[in-house]
Amino acid sequence: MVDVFGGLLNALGTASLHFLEFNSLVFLLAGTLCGLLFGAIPGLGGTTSLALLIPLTFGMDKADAIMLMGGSMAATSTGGSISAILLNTPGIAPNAATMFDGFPLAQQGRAGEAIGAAATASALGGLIGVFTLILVIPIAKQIVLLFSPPEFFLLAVFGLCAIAVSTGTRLLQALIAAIFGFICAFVGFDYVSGIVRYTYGIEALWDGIKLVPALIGLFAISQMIDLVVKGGAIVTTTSEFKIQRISSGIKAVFKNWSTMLVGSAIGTFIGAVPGVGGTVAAFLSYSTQVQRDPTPDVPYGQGNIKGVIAPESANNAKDGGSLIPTLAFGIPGSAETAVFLGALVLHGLEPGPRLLFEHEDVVFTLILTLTFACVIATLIVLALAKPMAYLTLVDAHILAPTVTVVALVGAYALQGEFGDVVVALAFAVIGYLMIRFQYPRITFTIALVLGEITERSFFQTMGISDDSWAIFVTRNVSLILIGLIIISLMVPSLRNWLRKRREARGEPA
Amino acid sequence: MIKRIGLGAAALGAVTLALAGTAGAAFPEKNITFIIPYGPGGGFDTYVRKIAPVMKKYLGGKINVVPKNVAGAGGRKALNVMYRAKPNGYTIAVFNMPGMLLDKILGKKTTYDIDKFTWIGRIARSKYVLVVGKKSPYQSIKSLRQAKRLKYAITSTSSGSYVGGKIMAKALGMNIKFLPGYKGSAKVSLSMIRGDTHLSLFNTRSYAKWAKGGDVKAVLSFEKKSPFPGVPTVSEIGYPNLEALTIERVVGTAPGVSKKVQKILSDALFAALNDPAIQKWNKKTGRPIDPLKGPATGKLITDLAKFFTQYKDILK
Repeated sequence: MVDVFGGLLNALGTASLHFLEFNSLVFLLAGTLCGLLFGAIPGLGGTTSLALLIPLTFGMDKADAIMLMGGSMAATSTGGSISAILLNTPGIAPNAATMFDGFPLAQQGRAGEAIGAAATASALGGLIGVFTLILVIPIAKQIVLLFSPPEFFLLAVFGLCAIAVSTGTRLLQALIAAIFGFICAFVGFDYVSGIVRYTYGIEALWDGIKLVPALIGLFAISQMIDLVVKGGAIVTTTSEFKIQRISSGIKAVFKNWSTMLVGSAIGTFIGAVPGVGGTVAAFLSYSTQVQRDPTPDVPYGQGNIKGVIAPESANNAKDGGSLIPTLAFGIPGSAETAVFLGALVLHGLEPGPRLLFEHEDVVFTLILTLTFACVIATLIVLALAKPMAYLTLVDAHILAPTVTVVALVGAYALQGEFGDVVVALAFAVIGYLMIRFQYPRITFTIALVLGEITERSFFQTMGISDDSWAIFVTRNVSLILIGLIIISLMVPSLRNWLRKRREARGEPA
Repeated sequence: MIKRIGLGAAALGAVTLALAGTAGAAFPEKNITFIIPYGPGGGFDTYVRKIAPVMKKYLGGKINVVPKNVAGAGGRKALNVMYRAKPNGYTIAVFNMPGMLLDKILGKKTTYDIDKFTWIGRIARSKYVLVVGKKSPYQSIKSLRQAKRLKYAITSTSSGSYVGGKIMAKALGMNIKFLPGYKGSAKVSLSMIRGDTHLSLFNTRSYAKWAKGGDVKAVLSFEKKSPFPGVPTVSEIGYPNLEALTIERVVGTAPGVSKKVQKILSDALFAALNDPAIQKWNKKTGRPIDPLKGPATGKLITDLAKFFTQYKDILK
């Protein structure tokens, strides 16, 4: 073990030499800027950015290529948080959970604070993810192997429990919205039965209702419709406009350090589990936060800063986490790492269990790139937060058409498919109706994000266990997850009951 | 009058033909889209992204060959898009055979006719190897054949691994339950490493990658000569006909593309695959490259269809 660490430290030294070269730093910066930009523009996202950068790297040195692409990979979700907060549209899917509280904060004139918190949480989450990665390299395999389909299913169910706590006072509407989310999640090709279902023959739906176009419509465009109907700007309370509060956003992260730590831990773990992904990580982190905090000072969904910190720390931590399975087995932990690994193959490297031993320098260049890129990205965002936050003061008649066009172009740019634009427009109408008639979009989104993995992992579990439900209680990790689910469902009612008893005792009839 | 219109039409037709002729001569004049029927990051994606820029070189170097992922319905969406594309050669796609022949073999209704595509060539042929997880109680081909019931993870029932697995199970008398929903070979391997499933067919190269970690083990090779010491081949255990189970990565374009354009594309692909850059990559990463030109690819696909139709009842 000492040997391994000694070797690792040595490689770390070699790798850090790259960071002293001017050229390499230019590539790192270029990659980071690229990632921020592609993250912030809805629809483009990390995989697009990487796919476009790959041809540029062909003539490059391996280390430079890694710095360019790694920088982009680490920065996208930081960039994506900006559009989630300011425009109520996720830059990339893992930022979707940031909208729930980020946008209400922007509406209250606290966009600067929200961006400050998101950027800080992103940097810290990213760093925690990378440090965890370094620490667990020796036991990476065991961690990846802890999770099987039964655990995926229970994780998804745990995430779904957040529907119950996010309903607020409109239980019926929230449940209807969630059921609608499930219905949408099951559209498209079903891997289990091998058939295309619920598409009414529409080819654009064969790959399912894609998350980003749907969310662009549901949140961004519908919000713009609402804005135009009501008039004014995103900030509804101009009198309380506090744009300079970026520093209070940064402080909020340190004040709510446990939220950030839990978020980062969830992000790292989910990142390490292949097949779950950053979006689920961010949602799980958000739901965990909501459930950990049953009596919040500000209700979740109405602009609670902790609702921004939780998902943002998770979706950056997952970058480090998703390299755990990569180093343990050569398996990408996320869509971005999948493309990234493809790029390494094009450079003649073979990602896999031996990479760490045969190309330590490559691994450490990557680790250092992720570390530096998430800090650089955050500094850039913090520096630009103030001018960007003024966007929330722009009048609807200028903002709405611009955002709508950018959002639709983003939906199209995702895969160059017109069908995605139609999906975005359809969900814009649905989203507006949901705003109008007060159906919560949060419960819809949670079900849409988690529906597919819930169903697929359930059928996989039943396949493994030969249709015996006992599999959920005979495995340690499953049992722990079941415990967590029960606790998260019980705690709010238990607290209510205790409070009522106390009140009853305090005021005897 | 009618005659004159007829003549006019004929003249117009001649002009169009001439124009088409010159247009064909100048092929390609604009970028060519290279469709990958799956999401980014997999084997097909990697091949196309490596080959596209080299193919550009052999198409005059002025236009680009642009990879595009069209994922959906286990590759069927890309087939649909390719089938409907204008027959001008500016859209080409990589096909996964024999997986993509399965619907036709089983007589399922499709919105495309797999026989009508214009074939440009073959990139590579991958051979299978039967793999078990180290945790599995069955560590040899003998014990697998004696096992009461085996579990085998697949992506979906339209994947090549399912086709191969079914035919192998029938030939060797194995009792296999197939579990769909594992997206990609990485997740299939993990399920074996964890011990959730027992066996799977891998292409030789991706097994070589996994073998280094020491978590999975090959028990049967589908090649003529086993690339892994101590692992028997299908012929050695008496089933040489199982050597026909392969994964063919072929390239095709829309139905009705002219012979001329087909030849230009086919020659460019063939030259690209023999380019030193690709050959060097092949040696370095161990990914097979087995170039075949357009017409030979067409014949290969007809033969594949014939071969797998024999197993129609097994595959249902």
